[in-house]
Amino acid sequence: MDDLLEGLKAGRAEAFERLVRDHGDRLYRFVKRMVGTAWAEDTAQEVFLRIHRTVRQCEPGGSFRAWIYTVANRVCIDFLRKHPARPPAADAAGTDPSEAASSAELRDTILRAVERLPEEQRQVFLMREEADLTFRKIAEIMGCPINTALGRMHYAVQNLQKELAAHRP
Amino acid sequence: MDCDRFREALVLKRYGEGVPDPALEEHLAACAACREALEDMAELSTMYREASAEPLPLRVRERVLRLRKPAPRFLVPLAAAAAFAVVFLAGHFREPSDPANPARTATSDALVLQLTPAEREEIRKFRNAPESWEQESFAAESVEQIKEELERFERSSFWDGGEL
Repeated sequence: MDDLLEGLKAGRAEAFERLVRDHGDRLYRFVKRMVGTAWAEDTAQEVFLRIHRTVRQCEPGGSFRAWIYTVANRVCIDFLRKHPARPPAADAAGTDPSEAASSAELRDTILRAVERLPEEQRQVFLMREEADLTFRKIAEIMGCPINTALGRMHYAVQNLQKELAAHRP
Repeated sequence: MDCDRFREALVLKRYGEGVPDPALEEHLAACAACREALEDMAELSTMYREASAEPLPLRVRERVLRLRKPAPRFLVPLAAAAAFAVVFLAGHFREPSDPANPARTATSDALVLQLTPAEREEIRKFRNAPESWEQESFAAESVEQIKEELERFERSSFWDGGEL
């Protein structure tokens, strides 16, 4: 990972391509679930731009993955502060459970449920599930004790399970 | 049973982060609800990861990769000219002659302010002597950012009444 960081700091095009290849999909999914579908593409682009512009601040020897998600998280939070009235994810709770039983609808239900989680629960859930960061790193990024991060994960899981239970036949 | 006491430890165990905890294991052996909660967490995780599997859209990938591509040499003077045009236009819009579009005035000013002194210096240097790839890339990137910010401004003015 250090050679990727060195390449990015040196401005090598192939390093940036590797960043996009290795981390692009997961970063995009993180951003999309954080800000919603309508703004996902612009915000993801902003994340890469911010990484590109600030990579010199990333300390070698630390976790590069934690650093890029720190940047992504900050960009998303900035966006959410500027657009507090973004369109909410459609409420799947109003659909007939018998109609929502197919696996495609269940997938849709879980994604929308994640997008509707309270912001702090959503951050923890996505940093664990999409970024694969440890709770210790997540707590560092969010500036909270590890038990707070674990508690948020616990409630995120509870909320998601409640939504899924409501959509299962 | 005192399940709440093991709430955080259960989350850590699910993700394989916790250290072995005899008290938790003893609780799990006796508590069917917590065993079920552990299985449910794993199932939820699997469901989410399968549902969420989606690549970075190609158009975003292409836009992002352009950030690091040096501009073709014949485009470099055009890029520099565009950057200076924006700076000039910002000065123009700063004049009270554009009262009809104060939001755009603010945008142009904001864009210019976003250029760091180093970027401005790079653009100036590179206008006179476009020697190195790094200089070209830096300047082209600034222009690219300006163009994208302007595009974003146009879209945001359509979507939310002109507020950035």
